[in-house]
Amino acid sequence: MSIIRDFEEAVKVLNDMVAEGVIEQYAIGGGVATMMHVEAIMTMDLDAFVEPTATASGLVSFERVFRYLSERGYDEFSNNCVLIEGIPVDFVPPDALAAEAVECAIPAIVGSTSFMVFRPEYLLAIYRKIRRPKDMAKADAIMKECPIDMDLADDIFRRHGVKWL
Amino acid sequence: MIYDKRTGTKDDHRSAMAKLPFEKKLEQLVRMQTLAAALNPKIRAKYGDSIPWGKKEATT
Repeated sequence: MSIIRDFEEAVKVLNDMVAEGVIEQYAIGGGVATMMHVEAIMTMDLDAFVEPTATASGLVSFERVFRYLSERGYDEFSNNCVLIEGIPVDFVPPDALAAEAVECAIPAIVGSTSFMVFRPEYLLAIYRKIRRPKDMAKADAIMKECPIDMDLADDIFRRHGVKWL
Repeated sequence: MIYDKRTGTKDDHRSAMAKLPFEKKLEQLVRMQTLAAALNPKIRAKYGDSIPWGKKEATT
């Protein structure tokens, strides 16, 4: 199916952004990262956590990212996501917990292309922090379906003030 | 529960699905999105052409 090729091309664009210095680093979180660790789940966009650029006024901006993408022909948006090879990519500015998840991201592979995804322990902490019903369901799936480093998870929960239950 | 002939053990079905290659999961996701768009007009209205994922082939 072409979805695999399209997804691979989309993450290649993210890798190119790092190689060309447009962004320092990125990591995939949200539903797609969860799907790396558990069975396929429904999701509508690809969450790319990227530190935005601070402007002189103090505001943060993804303008550099969107300009780069536009120059490569990716200037179509859908629900606040930019379409890269038909994949809706949501560029998300990380909070302290997600920023640490980006720092500690692990490589995954699609086709022959490597890309960075959140570790399950960080996804668990993020879902337990947000606590919407759909996040709690994803947290439960992670607990049931994939091996968790409980010492690491406990440390993340404690440092970021996330409750286990 | 499913029975694994190779190991002679029972495994939880969801755990087995979790171990599928990511590429298989992507294909499953696209099937789920296609079905959701076909069955639910709200999803169709909200996400329109961005689902299912992937570059659309030109049709003439």
